[in-house]
Amino acid sequence: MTFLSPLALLWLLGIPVLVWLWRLAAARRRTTVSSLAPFEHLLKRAPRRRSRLTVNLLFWLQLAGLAAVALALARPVIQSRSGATVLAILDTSAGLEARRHGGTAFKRAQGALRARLARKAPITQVLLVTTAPPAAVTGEPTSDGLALNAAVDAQRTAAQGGRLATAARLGRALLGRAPDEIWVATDEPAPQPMPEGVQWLPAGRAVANTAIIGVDAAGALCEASGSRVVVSLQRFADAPVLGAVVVRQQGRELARAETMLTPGARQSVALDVPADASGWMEIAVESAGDGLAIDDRAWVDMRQGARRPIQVRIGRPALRQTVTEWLAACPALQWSQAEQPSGGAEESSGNAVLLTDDASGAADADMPALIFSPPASPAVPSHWAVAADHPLGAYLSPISVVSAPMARDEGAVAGTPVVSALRGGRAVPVLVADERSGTRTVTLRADPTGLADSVPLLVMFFNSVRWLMDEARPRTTQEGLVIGGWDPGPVTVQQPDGSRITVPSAAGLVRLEDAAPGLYRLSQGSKDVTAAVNFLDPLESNTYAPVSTWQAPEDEPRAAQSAVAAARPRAGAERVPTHHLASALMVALLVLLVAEWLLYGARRRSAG
Amino acid sequence: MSVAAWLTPQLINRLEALELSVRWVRAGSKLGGRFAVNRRGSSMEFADYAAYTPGDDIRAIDWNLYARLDRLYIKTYKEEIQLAVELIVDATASMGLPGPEKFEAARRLAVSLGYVGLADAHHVRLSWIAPGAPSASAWFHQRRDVFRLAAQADAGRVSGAASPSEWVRRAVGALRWHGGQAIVITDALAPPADLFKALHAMSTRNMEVKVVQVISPQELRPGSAFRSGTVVDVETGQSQQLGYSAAELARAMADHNAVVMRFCKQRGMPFAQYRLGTRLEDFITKTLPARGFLE
Repeated sequence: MTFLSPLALLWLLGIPVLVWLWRLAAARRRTTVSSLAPFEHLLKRAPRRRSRLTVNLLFWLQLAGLAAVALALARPVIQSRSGATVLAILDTSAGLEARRHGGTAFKRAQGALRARLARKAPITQVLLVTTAPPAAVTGEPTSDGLALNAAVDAQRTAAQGGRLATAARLGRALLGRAPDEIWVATDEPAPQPMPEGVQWLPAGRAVANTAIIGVDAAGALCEASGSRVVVSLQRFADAPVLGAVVVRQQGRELARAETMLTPGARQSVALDVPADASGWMEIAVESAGDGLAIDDRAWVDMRQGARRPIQVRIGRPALRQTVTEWLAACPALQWSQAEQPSGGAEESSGNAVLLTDDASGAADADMPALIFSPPASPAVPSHWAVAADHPLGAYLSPISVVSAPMARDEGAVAGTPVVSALRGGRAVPVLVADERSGTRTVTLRADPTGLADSVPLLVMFFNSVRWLMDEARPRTTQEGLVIGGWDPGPVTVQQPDGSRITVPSAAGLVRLEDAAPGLYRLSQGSKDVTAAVNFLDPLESNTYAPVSTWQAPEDEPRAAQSAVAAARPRAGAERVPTHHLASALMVALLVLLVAEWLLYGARRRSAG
Repeated sequence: MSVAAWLTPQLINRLEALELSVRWVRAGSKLGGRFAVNRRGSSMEFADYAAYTPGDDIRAIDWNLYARLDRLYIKTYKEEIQLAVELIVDATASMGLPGPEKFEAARRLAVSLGYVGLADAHHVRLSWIAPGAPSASAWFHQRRDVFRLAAQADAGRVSGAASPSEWVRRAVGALRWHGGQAIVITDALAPPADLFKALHAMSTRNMEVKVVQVISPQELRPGSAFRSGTVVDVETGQSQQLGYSAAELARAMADHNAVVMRFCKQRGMPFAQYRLGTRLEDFITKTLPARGFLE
């Protein structure tokens, strides 16, 4: 047995104090007796001790209580390999907040897990892991039933989806070995057949739900769209229902559309909003039999729909030819070549997007720019790896083979490499995004000349244009909120519930992990930015027939993979189960106090 | 609960089967009772034969015996008397400790023994060893007087201190003791010399003395209540700093009780110790007959 806080054993010094107090009380006690005559002979000689310590059961109870307190504060633990090790997975994904008849699936999951914990053997070690976000709650396996129950009670559902497989992998990685048992408290259906050693604690019921699974305020990049807001809906039930989609701005209803929602089908609803309406708008869906509230609202910024003009300042004719071919394919885009800005001085000062092969000129222009930095080398095939968590990497395969001329040198480029080519066992940045200085720039270190039909290059080009126009896809709760362009220092964030927090900016970025859906207002000095986080997760919104996430999917989010990788213990570092005794000692102390109280009360009654 | 209420019909039935044990009658008796003693009397109960001497009543001569033996014998008969029974209950402050149950037991004992006496047509009265001039209740003669006796017992209260020997010295004159039976109910925690002096004084007044000690388990094992600190004698107010072991205190108490018991045995005084917590009814109906109080 070891102590986590051995200094607390100094409380044992209270024992001599207790003995001294009892001795003092004994010396001062006056007792009236029937007669001293029987002790006449005894009193003729002096007592051996004048202040003899007289103790009774109360003294021993107090002594035991003091010792229990000191030991509990010292946090004794026993490390032993005896007892089974259990991985308990509590599903905290947003779908468990689905409500039917007042109760939520999450409450049932908590109750089922608590009931299972109550039946566990005292020495069974349990590691509690949540699914959303995938994280270990107890830190390490523990047999402390009180701590486990408290940890279960403290959990809340997250505003994002979660995967049981990721949580299981995380738990195994933390344990350093396969657990003896896995308990899963979730609303998802149990896998068939049930894997050995897995206990499914079902908490779900089929709950009908209507969800917003997508919003678009600008239409497609390359096509003019007549509708200003397009909302994608899906009904999870077995019966159709009439739904209404409402667009509001600051409480004022701007548009409304009604549609019959077909069970299971995804439907798009287009809403015309007034032409002069701009800014953040709230979209809400209303329908009968809607069990989940988190997916009933979304936010979209109408100003982001106004596309910026594009200036093309590319000196190399062949490269300019390729770029203009790509731009010409998009009739909705406004673009101009050379020194002919279409929007006048205002656009050249930052409203336009610059496409250039002159890096120094782009830096002087102080405007969003896509910088082509093509090498003079021949085209060679290479593997390209894509960072999927950046908007520039959208629609690109994580790994693909691309044949393109690219720089041999590995000169540093400021920014975040989004696409890298693997050459000679080293990663060479191909597409680099940078927004630390407050203005977005993208550097493409490959030559697209003559490769106008290359899908990866085409996707990278339009992803870059879209990102530079600030037409990023809507941020979702799964991604969190990441906003760049901040100076070093604290940034004040007003959250959807009205509360304010201060977040430091790191490398010009402000990150809010596990952000709840809603509007966020960030401010630093005179800079004020409003952003929204939407809950757009059809998988999680499906509370009627939840999909099992027990099997690890191929498209597991990169963040989840990172969490698992970070949790992997060192080789050979299998954890020895630790039994915490503090809670047991506190229970013993409580029993002692109750016994002392009863005994003291009985003595008072008998004395009275 | 009053003593009369405690005296249930079931207990009375058991008491009816008992009678006071009388070892000798020196004085303090009146003729006409129902208790037959081995003294020539005029009752119907045959006692013995005696040689005829001139002056004897010739009606008592047993002629059948004369016919067989040719010698004159007379039949003698027992005397039936009424005994004076003094119930003397210690009502000093020590009887109120460690709790009221000690004095309550003493009162119940007194009434129970008094009923046995009344059932035998003896004269019974109750007096308290207490501070002040000795006093006693009126004499009770009949069974129904037991309720008056119980009322007298209920009226008793513990108070103050009284030296047993001094109280007896004054009671001899005040209560006009002239023999009989004295049943002393006390905790016997007075200084032994003083207690012995009182018992001896009663004995010299032609009284057959019986002693019942009522004592609590806490008093028998004083270490459970006190072992150190200051103890105060409730009667004398004397205080003493203690620092003794439980065994030493228990041994001192046992020695004290042994001295009292030995004194009573040497003087032929029946002695019984009633420990609080045991059934008083069993003590009366089983222990007291075994110790020579009742038969």
